[in-house]
Amino acid sequence: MLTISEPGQDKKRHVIGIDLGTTYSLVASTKEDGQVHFVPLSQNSVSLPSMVGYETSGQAFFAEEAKQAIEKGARNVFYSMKRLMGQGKGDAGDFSEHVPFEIAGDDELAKAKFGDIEKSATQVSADLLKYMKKQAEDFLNGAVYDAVITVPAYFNDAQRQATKDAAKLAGLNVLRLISEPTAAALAYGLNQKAKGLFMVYDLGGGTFDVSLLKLTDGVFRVIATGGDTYLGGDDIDNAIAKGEQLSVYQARRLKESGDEKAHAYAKPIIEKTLRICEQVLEDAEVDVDDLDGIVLVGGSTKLKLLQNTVENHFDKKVEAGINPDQVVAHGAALQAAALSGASREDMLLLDVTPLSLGLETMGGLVEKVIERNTPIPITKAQKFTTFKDGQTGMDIHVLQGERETVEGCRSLAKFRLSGIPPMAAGAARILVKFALDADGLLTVSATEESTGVEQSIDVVPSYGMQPEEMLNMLKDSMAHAKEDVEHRQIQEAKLELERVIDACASALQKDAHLLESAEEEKLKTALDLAKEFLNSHNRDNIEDGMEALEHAFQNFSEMRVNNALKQAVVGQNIYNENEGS
Amino acid sequence: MPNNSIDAFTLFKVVQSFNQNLDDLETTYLQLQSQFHPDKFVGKPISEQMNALTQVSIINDAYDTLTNPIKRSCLLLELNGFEDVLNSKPDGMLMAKQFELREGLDEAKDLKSFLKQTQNLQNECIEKLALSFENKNNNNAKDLTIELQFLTKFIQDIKKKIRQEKAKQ
Repeated sequence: MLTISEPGQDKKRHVIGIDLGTTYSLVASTKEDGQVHFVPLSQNSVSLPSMVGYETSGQAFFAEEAKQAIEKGARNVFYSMKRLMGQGKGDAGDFSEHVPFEIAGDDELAKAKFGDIEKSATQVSADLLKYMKKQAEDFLNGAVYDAVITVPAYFNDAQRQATKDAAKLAGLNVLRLISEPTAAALAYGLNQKAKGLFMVYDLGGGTFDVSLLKLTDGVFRVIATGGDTYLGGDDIDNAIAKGEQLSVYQARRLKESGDEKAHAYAKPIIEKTLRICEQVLEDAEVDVDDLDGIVLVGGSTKLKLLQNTVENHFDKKVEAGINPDQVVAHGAALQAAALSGASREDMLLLDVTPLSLGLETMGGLVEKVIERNTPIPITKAQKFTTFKDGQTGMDIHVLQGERETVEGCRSLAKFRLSGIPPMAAGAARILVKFALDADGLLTVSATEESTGVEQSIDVVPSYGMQPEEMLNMLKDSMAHAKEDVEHRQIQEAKLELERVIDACASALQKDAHLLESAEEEKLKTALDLAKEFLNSHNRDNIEDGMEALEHAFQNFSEMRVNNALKQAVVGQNIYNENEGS
Repeated sequence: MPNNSIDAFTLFKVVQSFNQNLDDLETTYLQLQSQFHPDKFVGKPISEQMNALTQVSIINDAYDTLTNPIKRSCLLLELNGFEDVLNSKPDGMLMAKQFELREGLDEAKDLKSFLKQTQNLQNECIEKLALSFENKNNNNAKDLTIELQFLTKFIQDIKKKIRQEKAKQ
């Protein structure tokens, strides 16, 4: 069937870039002229407050209407919901202290609640996205299906997945989720024709990100990234409100006025961001002097105090070429155009994973399989073996985080590889494969290589990591580094001792006939003594215990080796004789 | 390295050598990415997208191997018949050296200059490693790789300690 388009009607499918922020959201799109245009979203403004009001009828209202309702004290308008994205109720922290609505839901999924109205962050974001999609269609005079949506670089799998789900609910196809600082770098790089190594410092209302990017001929390569998904300009407002007994709105006004009183509250938060910047520079082994520029992104970077502090700290002028409120959506629109083939620019974004991924090993330790700041997509495999003789199953526990112990990381998934044929300890060869795709979603599979027994799982966590948990995880990994290393060394020493004890015991069982009974008794006593050391919490003691055991068994070991050699030689002789006959 | 895949040197079309030009590697890396990155396959058949995903994973891994001196050295040794280099036990000389350095860290008054010294040791180690490969002395290269792994980890420990001291202030 032929479809005839009405004359004058734009039948082109448009692609858009969306900055879904904690406090404000924006939509932008490139038109035929290749220029980026912002979609008007509320009265005389291209930015939309990230808030949705709900009537008891279920009807949603937005923009000015929602804003005015809040100022009048309404509690049925949900905002700053990005902080709950992909989170459980327990992850909400003190969020409920700063908003007029309740936090309900369960450990899997947090919800905003007022009366009978309950909405998850995904639902509220979906309504916002639907509203923005409609505005974009009106503005662009055509249908919109495909979008690039930005997320904080430091968002984990659950938070990314929840964002993608919201888009799906709104009827949008996500071409790609891209990191906010990366989007900003893209806009900045293409506009200013910048080249070299840049640090993008992105402080929004609710999140902080910092990324190091290398810009070369249309390729935007992230070298390292860091951040805190629970640190933003809102925290300064909340601190001022608390300390000065003001409403959050009054507090924000005080902050924006540049009042000295506000400085004292802003300082500790800026200090926190600077520490994260230092860590990222160190991770990437980049010296501040090597930076070609620092780009400030996000509404909170408009504070003069912040600009001055960042400049003084790094002794570098900051770049402010593009409006820090709009630069992220600008970049998202450019990437959307590039992915849909509508762009004239030949460009490519290369991103990294913000947090390390690993597996639990014996002793409650985490063996990292993919280190943070590894370029994605990536597939990495690690070999493991069985610990006990005849072991037929193995628990695969997938974790995310930087600490060396299981308790210090976030659990993503657990599954069991079973059906390993019984073998001696250490004989099985188990290959665990981690595959991280371009959107940062993880698949894990495990195979026993000699038999081909395989299990796999798509790791889509049902709830997000607690934001404080994430900040703490990074903070802890610095503060507890020593403790971790010690803990690890003690655990490893114990495992080693256990292995030696097992080996000695089984040797003794097999070849006791080589020994006089008095000697056999002596070795048994040595074994019992060594087992005592397994309860020790002192690494030196454990190592001493092992040394003593190995010393006691030295002669016996030699006897066994000699005996085995003799057997082998005898076997050889018999074979040769047979052949010769 | 999986048996049925090509090694990183072949993929990046460079000679199997420890000495590599990082700028050239980067150029090749970006060329390969421009060709195979999944973003270049949006809207193409799923099979092509999946294929691109696999290709780029291999490219990313290979680039990591070639640009990291420890991993590059391990691959070279693997290609020369050595196995599981990083899990081999250090020899007595290295153990003594490790002991001395660890004690040095405990006693160091000026951590920054101790870090600098250790970084110099790391650079020397890399130079010696390059020389060993040049002279086809693989056994020596193996020992130096283990030493380099230790020094790299140890430098991280020093940096952690510096951070901790800073946090205390």
